[in-house]
Amino acid sequence: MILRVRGLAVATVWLAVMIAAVPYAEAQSNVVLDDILLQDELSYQSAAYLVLVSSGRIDQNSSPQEAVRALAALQWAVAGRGADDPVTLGEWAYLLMQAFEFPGGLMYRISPGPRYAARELAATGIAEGNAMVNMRLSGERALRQLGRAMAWAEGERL
Amino acid sequence: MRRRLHFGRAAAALVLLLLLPPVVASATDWDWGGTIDNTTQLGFSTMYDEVQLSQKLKVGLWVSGLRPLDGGGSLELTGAGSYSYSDERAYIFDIDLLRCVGRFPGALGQRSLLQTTAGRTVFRDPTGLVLDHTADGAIVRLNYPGVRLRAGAAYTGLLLSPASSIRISNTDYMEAATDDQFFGPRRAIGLLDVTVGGLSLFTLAQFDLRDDGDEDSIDTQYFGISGTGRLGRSGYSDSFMIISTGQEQVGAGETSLFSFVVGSGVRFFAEQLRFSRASFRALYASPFLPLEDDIGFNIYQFKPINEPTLGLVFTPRLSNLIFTELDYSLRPFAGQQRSAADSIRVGITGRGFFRGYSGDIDYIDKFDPNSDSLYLGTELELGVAARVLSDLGLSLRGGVFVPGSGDRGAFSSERAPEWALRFDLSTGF
Repeated sequence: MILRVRGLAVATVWLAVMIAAVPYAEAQSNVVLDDILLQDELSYQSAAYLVLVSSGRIDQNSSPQEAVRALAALQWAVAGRGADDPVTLGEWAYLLMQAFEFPGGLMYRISPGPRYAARELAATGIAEGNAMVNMRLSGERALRQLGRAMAWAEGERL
Repeated sequence: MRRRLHFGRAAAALVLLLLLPPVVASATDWDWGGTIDNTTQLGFSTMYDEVQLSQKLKVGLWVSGLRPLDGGGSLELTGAGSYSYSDERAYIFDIDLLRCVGRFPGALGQRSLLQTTAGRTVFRDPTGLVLDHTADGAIVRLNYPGVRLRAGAAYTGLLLSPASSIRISNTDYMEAATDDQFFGPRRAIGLLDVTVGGLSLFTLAQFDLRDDGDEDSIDTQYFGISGTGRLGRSGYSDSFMIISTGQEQVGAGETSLFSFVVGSGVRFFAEQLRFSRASFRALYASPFLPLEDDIGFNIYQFKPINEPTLGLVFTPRLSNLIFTELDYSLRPFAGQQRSAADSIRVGITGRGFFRGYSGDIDYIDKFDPNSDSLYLGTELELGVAARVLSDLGLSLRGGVFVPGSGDRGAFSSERAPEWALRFDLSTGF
């Protein structure tokens, strides 16, 4: 429970700092964040936006559609996914692993992809609760995981 | 009789399998994976003709399905099967888990959590000393803030004999030593416990379902209390007492059994001291005490449903035993920030073994029949373990058991020190 609150808090603080730093971004980021928090199933463009902005790969005032294009340019695009399609936990985990350059476990190093990315998130504690590769996740859960992934990337223990 | 017995087991297995399809069909999220576990152990002693090498490899596959329910609940199906190789057996294909778990928050009150488990799952008493084993059955848990209730029933006759450590009677142990039993002992188990805060009251019972008149059979019941309390900021104390009654039948004769086990311990965890863990515990498991003339009944040797593992080299039964253990471990490379060597944990453990009474312990070799010493010996263990990667765990443990022999010990001088070196590897895919 403490970790859950902490993860969401880290992600929210990060977004708040972003918003405060760039006045123009405020309105747009607020809209994006509100939209993500309300998503029962995290959309592909929201996943792209979150991982690329949080890892500093695109500017915070980019749109989710621009994030999808940036993802394709990085060759991280998920084949067959439209911008509004929901992503699976495995796909989201794989985006996180790539964005934060987590080395992963033995099997992830041998065969990088959504399956072992989801396992890595479960093993490290970034994903709390059930972490099945093909399950969908809500926007709120994704934000919590993003917060913990950022903490993990900073060398913190979860 | 045998045919009826096999039919009964097949029917039980069928019922188990019939429970699962509705859950399988309705699951919306699926995942699967595998596990590989290897244990290699070397044993050395001047008592042995040669170095004893034992090897066990277990390759498992699992599948899991999850169906979320309204109100935050869920239905989850887990199946896990494995192939095992060991020196004793070239192969065993087994079902390790096959269970359906339903979670129903708020089902019996706003702050309640009802959880039901059916199928092959782990059954464990609050201390883990009487029962800690897989079995086929059902468990119902009901949790309220500060109060937890649990009731369960299980059957052990569908477990494969080599995989079953449900051993209580002499017949159970004899069957374990032979290859002619496909299934383990047929026993029905019931458990009921209530936990309020750190205090648990629990009861278990097991009934021997074999009806062969030539064999001995034992039914046992356990009534226990266990408690955990805080000791300062990072310490805990644990205490328990379990009283057991039983009925042993050999031929036409029946004996009423009464036995007990008590124990206490403390444990500390200090994150600031490189994640140090320290603990001490002591147990006393009753021996046979011929007290009928004094108190009206004899006290018998305590018999758990399955034996806990107490040591690396020397692993006596939890029966006619005084056991002490002092353990310390830390993560020497754990700094302020996480690092690659962070998970390495080194530890040292000392164990003292004593008889509870100077009677014979017939399953252990090289006792001195003329000794009335209670001291059995001391074991020292050193170990290092690490989760090298998130899906790769390694551990190396070495230990020596120095038996108490001569004037001060219960063993004869033929019993020499024994050494063991054990390597464990665990990974998944």
